[in-house]
Amino acid sequence: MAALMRKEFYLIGKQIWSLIAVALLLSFIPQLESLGSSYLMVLAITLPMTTMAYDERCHWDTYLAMTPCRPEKIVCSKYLFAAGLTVAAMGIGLLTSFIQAASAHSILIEMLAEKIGVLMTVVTVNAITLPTVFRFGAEKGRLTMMAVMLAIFAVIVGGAKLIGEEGMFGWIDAAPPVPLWIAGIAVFAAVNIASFFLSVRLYRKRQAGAYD
Amino acid sequence: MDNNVVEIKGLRKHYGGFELGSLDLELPAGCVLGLVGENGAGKSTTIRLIMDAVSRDAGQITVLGVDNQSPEFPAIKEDIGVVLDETCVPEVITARQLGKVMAGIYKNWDQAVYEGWLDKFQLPRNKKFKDYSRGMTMKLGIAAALSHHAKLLLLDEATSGLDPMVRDELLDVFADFAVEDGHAVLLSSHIVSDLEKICDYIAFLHKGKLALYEEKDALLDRYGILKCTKEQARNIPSEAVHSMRLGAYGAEALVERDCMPGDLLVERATLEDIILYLSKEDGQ
Repeated sequence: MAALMRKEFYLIGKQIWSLIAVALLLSFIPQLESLGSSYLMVLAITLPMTTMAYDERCHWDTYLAMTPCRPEKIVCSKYLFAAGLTVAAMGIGLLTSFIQAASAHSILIEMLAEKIGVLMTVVTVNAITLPTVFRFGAEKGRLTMMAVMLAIFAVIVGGAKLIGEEGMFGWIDAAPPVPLWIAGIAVFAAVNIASFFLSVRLYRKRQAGAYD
Repeated sequence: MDNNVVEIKGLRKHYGGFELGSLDLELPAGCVLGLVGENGAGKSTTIRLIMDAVSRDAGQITVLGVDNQSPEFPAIKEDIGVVLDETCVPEVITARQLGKVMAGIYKNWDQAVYEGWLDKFQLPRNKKFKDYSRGMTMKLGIAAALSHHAKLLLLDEATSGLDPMVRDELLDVFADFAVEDGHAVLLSSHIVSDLEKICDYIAFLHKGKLALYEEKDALLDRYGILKCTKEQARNIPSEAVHSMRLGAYGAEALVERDCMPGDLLVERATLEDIILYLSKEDGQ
């Protein structure tokens, strides 16, 4: 599996460094700080799609079907690659936020909690979109990804407009933090596990030519 | 498994408008089997079925003594080198990077052997795959297939689109591979002259059916080309003639040598003659 992930990094190659440089630059421009970390998160969602589009173009999966690589490993490598990018994006975002912050231990904890929340959201977006890529290909996967992101945005912004920010997010502050985190992690794990097994199933069918 | 590296019995596969089989083939150790057929005849599908990359509808396939749908088969894939008609390598990857990826995919990967093939084929290590010529891409695919100590090579149109010198070089590589102990090669190709050069057995797939499967030498002994007048052609026993072309000045036919009267001159047929005539026979 490490070999498959290595290939993913070869595919994104040197461009990843220039993309990170742009994100870092944005992070240190006053009033654009959040844009930098948002940009990194968008990269964490779109780069796996890009590598899958590369695979599709050269029929890499047709070749892999001839090798000892099992479908579960191939799918798992994609999920880990996507998760790895998200963690890296979060790490960079956290680091830049920390550098900008005046200091204070409490700010760091707050930032960390916020970033983990964002990380879980991004990984969940990937968990929703990856099965569609395995079923319909990278192009339609991208459309699904945009639809999911738009839906999340619409729910947050629309909800806040309709019932106000307090009504929308107030329950988060009101809820006891430990059960809230446990529930969040449980949902996150369930979505990702279900997504993974669905992707393996779709990938097997795709390899067998069921969607040709 | 006797001495067969690949055994196919009663293989069938149905796609939307295409039916493959029933197919019965054997590839003995030490031999090269040539799979020939028109586009869409089922050559690539057969190779994918052998690797269980596509699931079969009926029949049985045994590779290196193991049923290809058994749980042991993924491990057997370690011993099979595959080259597809397109090399399937992402265009931004270099030969050096491909070696590192393959080293993680195949437990038996031998980097020294790979480096040796890169040198032999004069492939640049740091050039991106997209900048390779067709010949170089096929050579890279072959280098990868030969670098994990495979016992069986499955080559799908591995020589198509290459110039005659490169083809000749690669055919030598395949022939050398096949003579090693317990090795075998299955080579699908449109280029019948390539198959004639190195194959021990020929399988001719025509519209998804196995039209012919025979030892190459026996095939070349069995068939001949008869060139005669139209009058002479009328007197040939019908069981001797497989396919006949009537022209303004005479007739030309693919015939079975053993069934021919001795007074007519029958020329040696090439494999290409035999395949072309047999495919026409079906259309007549």
